[in-house]
Amino acid sequence: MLESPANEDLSAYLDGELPPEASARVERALSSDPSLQAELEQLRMVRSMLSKHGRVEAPFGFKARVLAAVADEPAPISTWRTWLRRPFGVPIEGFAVALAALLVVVVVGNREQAGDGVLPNNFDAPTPAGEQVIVNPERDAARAQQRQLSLPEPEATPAPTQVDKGEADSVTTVVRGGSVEGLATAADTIPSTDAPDIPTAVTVPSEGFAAAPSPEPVAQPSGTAAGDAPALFGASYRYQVSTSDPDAAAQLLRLAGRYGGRVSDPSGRQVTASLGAGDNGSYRVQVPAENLAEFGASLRALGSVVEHPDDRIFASSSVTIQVDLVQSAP
Amino acid sequence: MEHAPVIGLIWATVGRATDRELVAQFQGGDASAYSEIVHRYQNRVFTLALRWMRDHAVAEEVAQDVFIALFRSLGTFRGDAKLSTWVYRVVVNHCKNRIQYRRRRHMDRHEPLEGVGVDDDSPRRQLASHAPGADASRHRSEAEQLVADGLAQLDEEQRMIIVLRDIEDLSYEEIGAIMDVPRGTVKSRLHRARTQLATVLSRRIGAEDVL
Repeated sequence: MLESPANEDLSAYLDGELPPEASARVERALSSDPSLQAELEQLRMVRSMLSKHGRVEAPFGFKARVLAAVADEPAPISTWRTWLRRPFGVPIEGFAVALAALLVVVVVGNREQAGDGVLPNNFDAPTPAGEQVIVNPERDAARAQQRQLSLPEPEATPAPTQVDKGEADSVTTVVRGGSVEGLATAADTIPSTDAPDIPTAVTVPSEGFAAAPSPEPVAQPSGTAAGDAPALFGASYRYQVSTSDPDAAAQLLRLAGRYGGRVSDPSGRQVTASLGAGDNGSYRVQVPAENLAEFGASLRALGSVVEHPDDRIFASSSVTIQVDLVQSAP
Repeated sequence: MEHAPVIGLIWATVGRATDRELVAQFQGGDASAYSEIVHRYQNRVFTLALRWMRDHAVAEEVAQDVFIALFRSLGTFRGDAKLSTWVYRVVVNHCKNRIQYRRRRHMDRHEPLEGVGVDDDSPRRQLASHAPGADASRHRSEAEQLVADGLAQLDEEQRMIIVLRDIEDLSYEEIGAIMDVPRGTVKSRLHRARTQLATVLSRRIGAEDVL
């Protein structure tokens, strides 16, 4: 019934994807053809159904699992930052070593020029303009000896920077937004490009589409195997549960207990006594990370759950969830 | 107080960063921007992966891999295309590759895709439990089930195109860029998909019930 090539235009017409003249042609046909109108209605029905019922929510805790999965990844670096790490194709560590070596040469050279590696005593006292400096080697040597006994060396002489290979192999960068602890710690060490590759877990072949990243070997957080300790990355959630059940707080307490969790009130006091009607409010629930999915699923049984976007990730084996029990109409 | 809605609207407009701004923040080292990107796209990515793979566990694996790939690649994202288009392309690539990978291993020779769980050599991921009650799909409405069943009748390409158009509301141009097919192909495949779906749905329910 919708086989004629012209009918392809019907879908495009429905989507507003036809040029004006083609659109007018379809409208003329529609005005004189009831069967075409019926076809259009069918297409509209399909579109409407898909748009209303086609979307699927990501599983409970999906976002936290993604953030945990990338917690071990190096901090994001943009192209210009990449360039800064390897200006002119030379690793920045190379420049650091060269600079340190240059400093050593300059400082040692100055010291030798000043005599026996000890600076003259007027080094740290600026000479007033026009004042003549009288050099007295014996006096300077005596004072210098005194300085060596009483003052820490670096204040008078910049110590040559010691750069060993270990230091040169890494560079430290500070990640802004320290509140997002899970993605990178405040000071995150980026391995040098010479560092061994991240172990790969699976290789999915890539093809086509050069602009978007092709599937790559996925490095997983280490220690996700059963029995490995602190491999779990906890997450802090905030969930709003709209419920018509006045005893939801009591149920929350029972659920938390079932999954090895603890419930505390906003002031941090642990709630152990049974809760009753009217106790719905905000609670903090700490559950073992491995029970997160089950606990989250059970939360959904209490009412409709809204995930707030301000998740925080912490490196721990337990998850703290703020649960806001909001009374809704039955 | 009466200005509160207006202030709220202004705040919502100003406070919600655009995709482009989020990418720039991420590239500048602000990791919280990534969290927002995941939040913004998780349902879209998961929907697309699920409609393609037709298995919750596999779809979640794919969706996680997509976001991990994005994390690694956003640093070099130049913004030539919209972030959404880019994300969808990554999903499509991952789904295609996953299907091809499994076909090469003859994993679908004896087992339907829907029944296959995690591959033996796939990485361990933190996946949601699919114990009773954990799967929201178990509680979905009859209409949602009908849509899922109807989509399952289509071939992969048709399914993707109709999902991108009628669920994700993308233009033919964007769909063509994502699927790497000409605009005319999008138009014809979309029409065939809708026609086929209309036939399936009409058999199951009357149009009045749906609308």
